[in-house]
Amino acid sequence: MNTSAAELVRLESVSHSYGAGDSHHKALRNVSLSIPSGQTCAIVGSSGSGKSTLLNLIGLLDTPTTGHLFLNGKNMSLCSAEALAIARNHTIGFIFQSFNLLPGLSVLDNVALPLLYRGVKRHHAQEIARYYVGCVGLGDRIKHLPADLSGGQRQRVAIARALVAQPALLLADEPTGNLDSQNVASIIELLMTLNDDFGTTLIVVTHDTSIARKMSRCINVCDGKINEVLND
Amino acid sequence: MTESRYSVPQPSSHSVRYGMPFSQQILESLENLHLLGRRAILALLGIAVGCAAVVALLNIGRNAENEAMRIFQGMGSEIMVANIQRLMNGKMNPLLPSPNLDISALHKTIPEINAASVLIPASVQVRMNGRTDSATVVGSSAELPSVLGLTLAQGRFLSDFDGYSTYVVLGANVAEQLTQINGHAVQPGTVIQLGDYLYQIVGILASTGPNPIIPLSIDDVILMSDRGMRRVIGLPQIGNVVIRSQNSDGQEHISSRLQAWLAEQMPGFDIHVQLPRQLIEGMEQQSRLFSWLLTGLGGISLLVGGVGVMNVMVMNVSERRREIGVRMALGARPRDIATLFLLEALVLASVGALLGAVVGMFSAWLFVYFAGWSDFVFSLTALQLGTGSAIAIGLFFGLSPALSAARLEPVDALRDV
Repeated sequence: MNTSAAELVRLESVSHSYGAGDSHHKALRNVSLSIPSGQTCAIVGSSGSGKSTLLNLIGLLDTPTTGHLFLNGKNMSLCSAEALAIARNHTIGFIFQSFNLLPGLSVLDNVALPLLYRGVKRHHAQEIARYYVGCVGLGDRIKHLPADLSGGQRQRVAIARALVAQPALLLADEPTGNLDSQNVASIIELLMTLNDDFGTTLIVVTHDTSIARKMSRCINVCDGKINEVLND
Repeated sequence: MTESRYSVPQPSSHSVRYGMPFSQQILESLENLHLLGRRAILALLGIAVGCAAVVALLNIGRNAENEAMRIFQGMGSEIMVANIQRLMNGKMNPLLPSPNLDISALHKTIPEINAASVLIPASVQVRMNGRTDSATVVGSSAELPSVLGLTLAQGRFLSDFDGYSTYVVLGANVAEQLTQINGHAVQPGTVIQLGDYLYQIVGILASTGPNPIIPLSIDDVILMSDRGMRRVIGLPQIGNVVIRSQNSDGQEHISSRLQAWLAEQMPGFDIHVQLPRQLIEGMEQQSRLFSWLLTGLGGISLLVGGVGVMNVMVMNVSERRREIGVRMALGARPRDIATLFLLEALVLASVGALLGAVVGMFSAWLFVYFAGWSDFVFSLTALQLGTGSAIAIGLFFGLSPALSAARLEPVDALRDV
């Protein structure tokens, strides 16, 4: 772990709770965490421990109930929904367990979507998207709809979509949860290569200890609290 | 991932404004509606029917107005009609005939009057060729053709010298009916029995069509001299005095003088002089009211169509919850999500409005064609109002689902329900 690297994500005594009154449930309790740029980090923990909540907060999909979250040194807890959307587009790439490709759009249009929201012209966005679809090895499938692809291929498209905006931070929520073992290996390899080549910060939520072991850092979430597990 | 970062195509410079280009947003909404398929068509149908109703009804209203105006225009604005009624509470004996009016004295009193005639209607039995029928006889002055612009098909009209003689002139339709009864054509010289007297036909009028300003149709009556009416009924009553002035200026002035003269000549009678312009105004007001009622009807159908749009959009938003979440994760701002759904509602309403406008115009044309009205008048107001309100309704009903979509938190939208 390179402590001199710039800090990308920082959580300062963040708590998060769902519901109100009697049904009130505390998912995260007073979590403080710092992730430097370029690190690979696994988040592990049992179901309902709060690891997805942690990822959603880092991904700016949710706002902490108390505490502060800094992204690139900027306090995101104070930002409007609009500013958060722009920050997500510029800084963060998402990879979901269930791929979350838009079923009506072709592979190429799915990948180009983040650029379109950024204001890039369709033609230009598709040109860039074509490059990234090629990078994940699906250059011959750009006109296909997601329904025509296998699970592994869909996740590759999702990765291309996460990469197309050249994010500093890649968030993956159990990216291999719906894949067979052969695809798991190649997807993880692809993610690790990205970290090596581009220095993209990688945060992966996973159940799979073999994946967690490949990361430079592993955070265990248990009952709303975190503790570091040291990788060998 | 063997290429170096520098060969990666880069998005253009930072000066680009954040947000999807508008053309792209339109394209997306079209694609999404295509995916909605039959449901979109159903919602679109509701709007189309509403818009068609507004366009068609307004257009038909406009054409009806036009048709009524066309009938009025034929009679000329120089004509003036005085309606005369006996006052029931007066001291006059109601069993007396109304006094004879001296038309030449009227000409002297009001020189602007070109021609004038009284109208004395009465119902009478017509006997001809052994068959009996009923008909309306109207006593008139010799100047009636000049007042109403009547022309003769055959023979001559009544003259001042026909005073008490047993001569009649037939309206076009009456002549036709009598021809059917008679078996062969009636013509000047033919004798018919009216009541207890035999009359000789001296002329037959050409058809004039209905004239809304006088209470009877000249085509359907038998005309005779006003003085001779005593022979037909015991108490002839003047129903109307019709006059034609030299030009259409100073109508109010002439009408008040006519009113005064008639009141002086005919004490105990209620006299009301009506100008064609007043009739036209009344008619216009009526047709305007009619138009608004029809528009209201169309508006209600539009409203129902709008609820259809809202229904589809609410379903659309709840079914595409996850998509909304994904788009938000990829950088869609709340306003991008709102625009996405609002544009879909707008496109839906616009296509429906366009379809409705075409159908509405066509059905209005069909209506006018089968009603046998003169010719179709294209009402631009109807088109603008119809399509405009359809699109506005679509927007209005699309707004609430779009805003509720935009207000979703990304994490809630992405969560499995």
